[in-house]
Amino acid sequence: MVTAVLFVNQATPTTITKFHDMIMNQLPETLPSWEFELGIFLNNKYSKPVNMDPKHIPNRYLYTLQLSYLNDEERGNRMISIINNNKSIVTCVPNSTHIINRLESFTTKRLNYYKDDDEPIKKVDEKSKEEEIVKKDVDVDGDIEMENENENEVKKQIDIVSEEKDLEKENIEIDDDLIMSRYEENSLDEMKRRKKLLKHIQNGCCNNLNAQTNENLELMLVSKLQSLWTLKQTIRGQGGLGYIINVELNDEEKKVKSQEKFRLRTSNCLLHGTFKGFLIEIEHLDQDMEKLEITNELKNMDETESKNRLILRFSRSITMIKSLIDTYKFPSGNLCFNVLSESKLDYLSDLCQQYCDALQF
Amino acid sequence: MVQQLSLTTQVERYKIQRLLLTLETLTGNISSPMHKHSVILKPRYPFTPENIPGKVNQIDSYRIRMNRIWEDGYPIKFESIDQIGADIFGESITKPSENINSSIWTLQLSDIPAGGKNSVLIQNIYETTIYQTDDVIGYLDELGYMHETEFWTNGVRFYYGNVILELSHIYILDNKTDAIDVDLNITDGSNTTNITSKLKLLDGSGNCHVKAYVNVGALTDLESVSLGIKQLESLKRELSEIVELHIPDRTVMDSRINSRIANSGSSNN
Repeated sequence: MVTAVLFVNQATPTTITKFHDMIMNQLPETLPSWEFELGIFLNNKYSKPVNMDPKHIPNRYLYTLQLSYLNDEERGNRMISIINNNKSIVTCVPNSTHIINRLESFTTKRLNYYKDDDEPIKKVDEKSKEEEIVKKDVDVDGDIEMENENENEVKKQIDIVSEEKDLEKENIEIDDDLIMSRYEENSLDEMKRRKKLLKHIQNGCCNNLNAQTNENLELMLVSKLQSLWTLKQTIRGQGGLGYIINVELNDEEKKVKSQEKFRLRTSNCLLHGTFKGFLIEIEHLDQDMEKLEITNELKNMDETESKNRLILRFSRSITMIKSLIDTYKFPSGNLCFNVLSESKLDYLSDLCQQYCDALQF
Repeated sequence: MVQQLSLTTQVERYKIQRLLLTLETLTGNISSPMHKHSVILKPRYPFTPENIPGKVNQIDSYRIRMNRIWEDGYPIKFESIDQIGADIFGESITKPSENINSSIWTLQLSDIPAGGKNSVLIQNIYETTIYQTDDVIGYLDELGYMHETEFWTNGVRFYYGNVILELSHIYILDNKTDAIDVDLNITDGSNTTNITSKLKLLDGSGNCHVKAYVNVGALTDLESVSLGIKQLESLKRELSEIVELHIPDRTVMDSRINSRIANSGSSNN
């Protein structure tokens, strides 16, 4: 998955409503509302080599990013962190009940799923499909409430929603994206990692298994690592909306039109409670490539070959994202699509890097 | 943050088998294995704040402990006491490998245990788990930490109510035999021995460390705290025939850098 973040500095209520209207006209699938929080830390200059003056210590920044849509029940306070635009980690607190309950059945099932390329849909059990549908209905309701301020909007949305529901019923049997989208990082690596986490817990490597905990990396930084890092700013994203859209775009290279799928998430960004701008997170959902990659992973393709494919995939996705922005006349702003490491696409840390680049005040 | 209530003790080698049997009977379950690799980290540079008169500096710097699964190199089960002298290997943080860098690590940072007249030790532990990374050492370096020491835990766990009971042997790097390790690689030729280092028991007598603890997730959950204390006390009574669980010395459990309490504690020893 390749992402980019578009930050609209000069956003007005009109630009925002216009954008949502435009998206709605593409008959999107709506996603639950979301929030984010970006913490910016500066290094404490008094932690230094003994003979150096604090004034000569260079500035270094640590970012922590929390995205509410990553923190459903099984993911446990996920937080992405980057230091000095260089090294990244993803942290979590493995909340036991959900993780352990789901993990055992889930991992084995999913691992089998990936081994069996021919019939991926049948391997996923009916139950999770049903769950997905129930969840979606709830989400749609939630969205309607959100829009209550604007009556026209609501009417429009209800129309679209009912249309969409019909569409959904037709699609549900053939479209496994619903399930796929629920497990965003559905790579083989992620599945292995979940299994490892269970072993990690069983071996007594961590203590906090409380499902209601609010502990995360930021709490540790703020409360115990003050000698190293000082929290300077917290940028909050509120009133976030999300869509999945299918659009037809011109593929410049092949000179043909292609059907492309994107996940869009929008949010208002606030610093100390003041509105600073409008953020659009764009994710190109190139499922064919994704599946190809999983197959290649299983085939153990050689390194340079897979690296080349990765670069190719990345540049195509970025072209598609730019084409989407042009075609649908997104509000103008700063588009950030930097990645942390050129040799490897890492969905979460790249996304965090893009948020950091976009939200520089 | 977790409040950990705990009691600890040492058990002589010849008593271990008896304790294992007792615990199996008591809990009605067989033990589950526990293999842990722990690294103690300290800040790379000292924290030297300005001393402005009238300004009290309250900021401490702490060591961090990080744990992961000890995956490779333990050929013996904890229960097989006879093999205590056997060769054991572990991947050391001093020889960074892909395995070390991409492991799931849990960072733990703890306050000095609370003083006062409690019947169990109470310690706050802050914790976060690194779920995904490909360069954990690089990140920690940027964070401002470097490794100080490391150890490996080979043991078993029992669950009794809310109480977790851990019996373990602690291993450390066997520095003397580094040269022999290299020889082994040549003859062996396998990948695993290439990156692992030879370990030795911290306590050569084969005595084992016992820790009984309860984790309480919320700071305000006084009910669980008092329940945990009761459960630990009752466990202590039940096991009193074999082992005597007691409160460990809190002053040696202070993880702060330049701590006066810990320093005075160690100078007494």
